[in-house]
Amino acid sequence: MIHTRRTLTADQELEFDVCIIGSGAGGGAAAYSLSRAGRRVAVIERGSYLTPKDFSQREEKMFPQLFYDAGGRRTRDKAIRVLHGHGVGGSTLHNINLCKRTPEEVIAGWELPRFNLEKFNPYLIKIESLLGVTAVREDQLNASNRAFRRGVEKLGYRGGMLSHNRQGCVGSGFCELGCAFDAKMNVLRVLVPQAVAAGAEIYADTRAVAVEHSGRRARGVQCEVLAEDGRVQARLRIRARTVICAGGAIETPLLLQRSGVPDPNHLVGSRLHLHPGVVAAGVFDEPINSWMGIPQSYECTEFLSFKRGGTDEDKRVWIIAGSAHPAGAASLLPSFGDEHRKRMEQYPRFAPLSSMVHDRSSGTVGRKGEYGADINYQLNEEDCAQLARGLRESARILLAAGAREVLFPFTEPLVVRNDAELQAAPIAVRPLEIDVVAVHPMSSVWMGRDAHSSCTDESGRYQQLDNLYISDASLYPTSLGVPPQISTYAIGLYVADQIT
Amino acid sequence: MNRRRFIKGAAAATFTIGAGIRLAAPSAGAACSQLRHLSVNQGRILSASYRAITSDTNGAPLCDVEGAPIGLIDDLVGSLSARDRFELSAGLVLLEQSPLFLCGHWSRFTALNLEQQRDCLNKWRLGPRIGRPLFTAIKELCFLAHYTEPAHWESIGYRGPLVSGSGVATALDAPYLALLAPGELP
Repeated sequence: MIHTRRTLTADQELEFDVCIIGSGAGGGAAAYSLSRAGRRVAVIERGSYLTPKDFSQREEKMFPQLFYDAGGRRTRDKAIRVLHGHGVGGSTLHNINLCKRTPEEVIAGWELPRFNLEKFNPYLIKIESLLGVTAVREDQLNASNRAFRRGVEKLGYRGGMLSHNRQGCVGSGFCELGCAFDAKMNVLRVLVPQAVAAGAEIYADTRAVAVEHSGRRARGVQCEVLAEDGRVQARLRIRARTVICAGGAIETPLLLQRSGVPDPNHLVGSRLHLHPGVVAAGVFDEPINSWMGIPQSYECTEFLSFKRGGTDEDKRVWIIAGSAHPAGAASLLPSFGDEHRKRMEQYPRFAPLSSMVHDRSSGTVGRKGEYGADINYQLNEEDCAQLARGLRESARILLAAGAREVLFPFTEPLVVRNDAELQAAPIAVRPLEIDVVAVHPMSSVWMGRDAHSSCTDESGRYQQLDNLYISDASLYPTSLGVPPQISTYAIGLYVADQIT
Repeated sequence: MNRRRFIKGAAAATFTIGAGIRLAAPSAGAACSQLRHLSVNQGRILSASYRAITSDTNGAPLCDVEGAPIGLIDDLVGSLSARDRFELSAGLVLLEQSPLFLCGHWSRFTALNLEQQRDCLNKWRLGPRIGRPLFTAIKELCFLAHYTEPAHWESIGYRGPLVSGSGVATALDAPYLALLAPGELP
């Protein structure tokens, strides 16, 4: 059953076989698998239990409900906005439902003898089947993605349709604010009902304060139930034989640090990857209304390759359509006043493209105050160059598609109207000169072969505690270079199977 | 010097400078006295910023809705983490005192005319990188408040949500509500 702050008003001590902290892709999948295997499972979720009626399609209402720090979380130097979600379903509530499998070359590059493609692939196949992953149909391409494809095809670049986990989609276009039409085949819709039917207990509005541990064992989890105004209204103490951390690549290391779990090599929270992206917007003569329809259904992979060596070594940018509702778009556009207003009047004619880099830059996650996140991450020169390349190629695609002009939202806005201007344009990505957004944090509690160089073993078990597991995007030893959604669902199933 | 130390040091310095100068403080608007998360002064600084950021060069507001939606900005600030609120508070102190060292005006930010306020904000926008995040934070709050107001949608061709947002459960909610523990439903 699902419990919320409405009934969690008294302190309680509870006992379960497994306590899972976080109900996103990794935690939700683990809860699904373990509860169906007969384990008594508790799931702790910091956010609320939202149902279709709650997804109001209003930015100012949904940002605080769906994102940590109302979507305002940034890296220490404020150069990169880091979005990650909470709520029963975690980031699967707000993500755009793209399903791209973990690239084979990336898994091979990890060189983990006990975690290889042969072992992981069945979990990817299983979760795709559970979530009904299918290719987006031609008739579901919105005007923005059609323009994108037109440009890619005209230039002869490599591109293709994406696969999604949605069913009954009406194309309202409000995916990132949660689906009011209940068309997302996500944790909330698919896995939570089955986990609850199998006996899982889900505690929403509840913050995991610390993992209790002694010797080489985790003993349980201390939790606080939060009232609507954020004050603590009750405390839960959950004793469990196994504890699984699945709060995502920002919250999981923070929880481990708060808990003081043994970390002799100071690895937890280091090696963070963000898969950051920048946006360029084409301005077309005709209405595009990029906020309507499925926001991202086509991709350009001309500049993304996972092969090592040769000419492909330098291709690390994935280009995809973007979309934003008015407040989000207004925040991304440079300047203010008249200039900004004129740009916003073009809003219906924008077709934005986002370029995300398969980042080699890495950073750290540390505590900021009691529950805040100090994310220290700076893009290195190589990654900045990749993003600049992404911006330039995005503009080329948009111009080829018929854009009247392309806007780069640098602090000093840059506009190009043709290839010659693009050729001459000084496009460079530097911190705080263009908005960089990261929605795919990964790798902060990564798996590896030994306790000296990795946080968990290849089963996801924490190297220093025998019954503490990690089951989220923290586990990846490197950036995946693609959205981690479907990989993280599969990781949840995989980790659950490792627990004996 | 890291960013936090810079902000703290600069805030202390500007407090000292500000305290030593006689400056007329504009009266607080009624809306600012009702705030839950912002102080009256902070509300006044953000209201002035909102006006400067969202109006055109002639001072004309972008639409007919009167006044800054300071209540909504207050709500948004309330959803930030305690640390972020602290940083914003320090930043607002800096902004209020910045005309003296940034633009050469012997005045608080809130006492400047609209053109001077725009000039001051522009200096924050284009100035040293360490100061730009303050402009960005204020701009995001102002635009989030501005463009979530339905009266502002028509001018940008946005049709708004497709659902009523009334929060009333429908058949889509039924299977989810059935998962709730006893006593959860009102």
